[in-house]
Amino acid sequence: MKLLRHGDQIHAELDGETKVVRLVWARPISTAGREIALLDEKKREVALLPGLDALDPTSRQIAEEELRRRYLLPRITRVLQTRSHFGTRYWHVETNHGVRRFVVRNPNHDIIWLSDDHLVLRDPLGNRFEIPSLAALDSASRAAVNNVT
Amino acid sequence: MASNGELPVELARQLQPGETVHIAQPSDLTLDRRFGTSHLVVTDARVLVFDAGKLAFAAPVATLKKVRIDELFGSARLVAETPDGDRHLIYYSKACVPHFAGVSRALNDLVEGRPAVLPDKVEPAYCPRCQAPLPERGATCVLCVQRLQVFKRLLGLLQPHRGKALLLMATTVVTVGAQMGPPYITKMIVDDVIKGSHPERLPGWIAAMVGCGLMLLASRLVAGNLTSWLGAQVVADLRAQLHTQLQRLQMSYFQRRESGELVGRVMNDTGELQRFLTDGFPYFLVNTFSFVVIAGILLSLDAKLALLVFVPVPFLVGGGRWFWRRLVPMFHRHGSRIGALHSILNESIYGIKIIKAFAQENSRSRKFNRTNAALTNARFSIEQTFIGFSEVMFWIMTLGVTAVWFFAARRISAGDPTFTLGSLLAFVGYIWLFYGPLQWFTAIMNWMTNAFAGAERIFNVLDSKPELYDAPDAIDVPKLRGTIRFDDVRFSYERDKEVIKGISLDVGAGEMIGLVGKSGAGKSTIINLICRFYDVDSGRITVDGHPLPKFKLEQLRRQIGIVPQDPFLFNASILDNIRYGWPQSTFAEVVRAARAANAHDFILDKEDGYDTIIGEKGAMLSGGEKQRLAIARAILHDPPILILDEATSSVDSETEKAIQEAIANLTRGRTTIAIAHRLATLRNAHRLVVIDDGKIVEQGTHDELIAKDGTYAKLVRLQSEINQLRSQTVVWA
Repeated sequence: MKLLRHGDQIHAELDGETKVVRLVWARPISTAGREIALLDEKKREVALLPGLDALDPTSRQIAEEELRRRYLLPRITRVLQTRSHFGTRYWHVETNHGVRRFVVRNPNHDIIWLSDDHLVLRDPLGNRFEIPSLAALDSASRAAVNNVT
Repeated sequence: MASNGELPVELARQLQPGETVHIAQPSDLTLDRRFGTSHLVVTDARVLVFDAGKLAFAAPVATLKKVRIDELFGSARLVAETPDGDRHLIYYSKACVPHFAGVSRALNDLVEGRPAVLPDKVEPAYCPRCQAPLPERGATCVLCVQRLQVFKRLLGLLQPHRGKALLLMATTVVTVGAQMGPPYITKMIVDDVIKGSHPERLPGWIAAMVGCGLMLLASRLVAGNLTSWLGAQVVADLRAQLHTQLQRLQMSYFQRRESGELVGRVMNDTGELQRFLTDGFPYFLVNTFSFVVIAGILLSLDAKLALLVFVPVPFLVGGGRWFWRRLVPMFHRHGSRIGALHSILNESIYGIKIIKAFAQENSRSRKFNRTNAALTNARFSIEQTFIGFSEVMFWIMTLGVTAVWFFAARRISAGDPTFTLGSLLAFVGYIWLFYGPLQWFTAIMNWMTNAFAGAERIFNVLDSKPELYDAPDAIDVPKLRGTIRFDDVRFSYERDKEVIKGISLDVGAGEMIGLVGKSGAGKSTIINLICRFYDVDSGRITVDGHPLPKFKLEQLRRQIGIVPQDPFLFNASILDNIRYGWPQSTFAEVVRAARAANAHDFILDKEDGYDTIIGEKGAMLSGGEKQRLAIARAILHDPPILILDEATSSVDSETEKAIQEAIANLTRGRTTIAIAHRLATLRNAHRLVVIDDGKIVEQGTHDELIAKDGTYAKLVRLQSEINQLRSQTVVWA
């Protein structure tokens, strides 16, 4: 199978047939980087690849670029400030995509603990932020996280 | 943050001379998806994208085929479909989703050569005052509640109860005065009676002390009663205003909100406000007032010593603040852990069958115990902090008292004539009154912020735009003939998704029209528009030749009868439900309507007959019974225009027959618009109108449409296949 670019559109060439496809991770939160599904315009599965390695170098580059565009999960590198006010937790963070302020309303629903060290936060608008490792944060950031989780 | 506003000057400079800007929408992501600013600009000629101030894309509007939105993970993008394939125009975070929905709609209007419907004002995701993220779109920001303004507006609510409010102020003064008395009397007894030369004055001072006690008792009783009454009254007024306002708001207001949220606003926010007004506010008032008075008394007794007393004040206030800041997150953590334990318990009990079937009892217990332990820890750290807090505060206060004893005793024993033993005792008495409330100052301020945020939310609802009941040039049409006309009507609930895409339709007086089509085709929307629950985006709907907005809203709606898919019945008797809206109807009229609706027999069969209370949402009745009550209601109503919205969707065949007969009685001589899932229900319709994707695709009689062999014929075939399948299943069972 080969991936091609047409403008900003991705096409897949499969069994001599070319289709417009959409690339999605099967497990975008817990295990991004593994299984990738290709869906056609009617949202039906075209193929499920075990990983990007299954593609030839050119296709792989196209896939990587498209997945980068499609998935925005900023990684928090430093927590500048947190506040808890009437049930709303205010976060002010530095991420690998820049500085951002957001709120978390209900920690039971809006914080996903993938392990004791790895968490994903969700704000009421639907934006998400990841802390890949609490232990890797500086102590001030850890204290700020601890204050509101 | 993101709003459809003015184009920044440095971007405007990059446009061609004479180019006018239609839309300038900022985004909160750059093209490489960093948090920053980019802009989508639509001018009279071009679409442009500026990425961090630099032109990244420009093309004439005419070269686009269409724009669409790709919802992505954690962001979204606006995509232009061009002859050379897709082009990703701009990326934005979920904060800007509604903004770009509007932009995309407007841009597509332009691409298709229609005048652009400009985007609506979007509820902000960030506080317009302090830019902090909001707990939900359009919510009140608790970080910058304008306490003074809210307070002024609450005071305004006291206007009708002015007398009682003034009395409350007076009792506050009396309370503070009575509190100030005893320490001063102690001083006089010591200096005048014990150490002085006037033992005969003792009974007078004792009487004064008892008098102070009585005054305090009386003023507190009066104040307590007054605050409860005023608090309850103000909140009751507010709740009533809120309910009246909710009844008159536009349907689009409810479209965007869940009913639970609104019920919460009416009950919780007003409840919280009431608690603060009756408990928190008097405490705040009395203590602030007595704080000032005591400070004055202490200064007048001895200025130097008074300054010594003031030294711990910043520590008490600051300490209270510091502790409170630590406590609040702990309370929240405790709250959310209770919530977590709750939901585990819930699952354990509701899911017990599955847990047992998969033999997961032990893992459930482990999960519960983990959360339970976390809850215990949270509780423990609150208690710990709290004990530490009160003890440290107490210690700081004793330090102040000790210092007073030290300096005062030294002066008295040195024979200083300006300071007596009585003054010392009075001083100590006042200090405790002075220090006590200080530590709770922060807590009260927090409480006030919370209650006032609730008040601000309430005021927001009160300030929302209600429906316009009577246009200034409204016409008076007491009895409609019932002709309805749609002229190229377009409509959307949300700006980006047009639901009705140019419908023109003529319905004659007394004609029965059947609306047919897949779910989501726009049938119910057509009905919403006829009732004027929503206003059209463009085009026109006329009834009897008059455009809808010209009617008095109440008069129009009173002449349209609705039998909805899931009839809403109120928790009242069957009789009252049938004559809902027409309470003056006689019993004979109600019975006639019930007979025509094939409901009379089943009503009489009930133990309580027409007096049967039907329970919340009609819980005591079957679907078919509810449906027939709704039909009886519509028959009694006797409207020239009748709307049947899937009136037979959820009943068995036998009941359906009864309902069919009822409907036939009902529709005679009225303009009827009927939606039906079961096409057989529309047998009596004079004309069928087939709707697909917001447009009329076919119309005609059943026979004409079958002969045409189009969409309708396909639907009929599909349905008869399903019916056949059903009957086969029955045979095999």
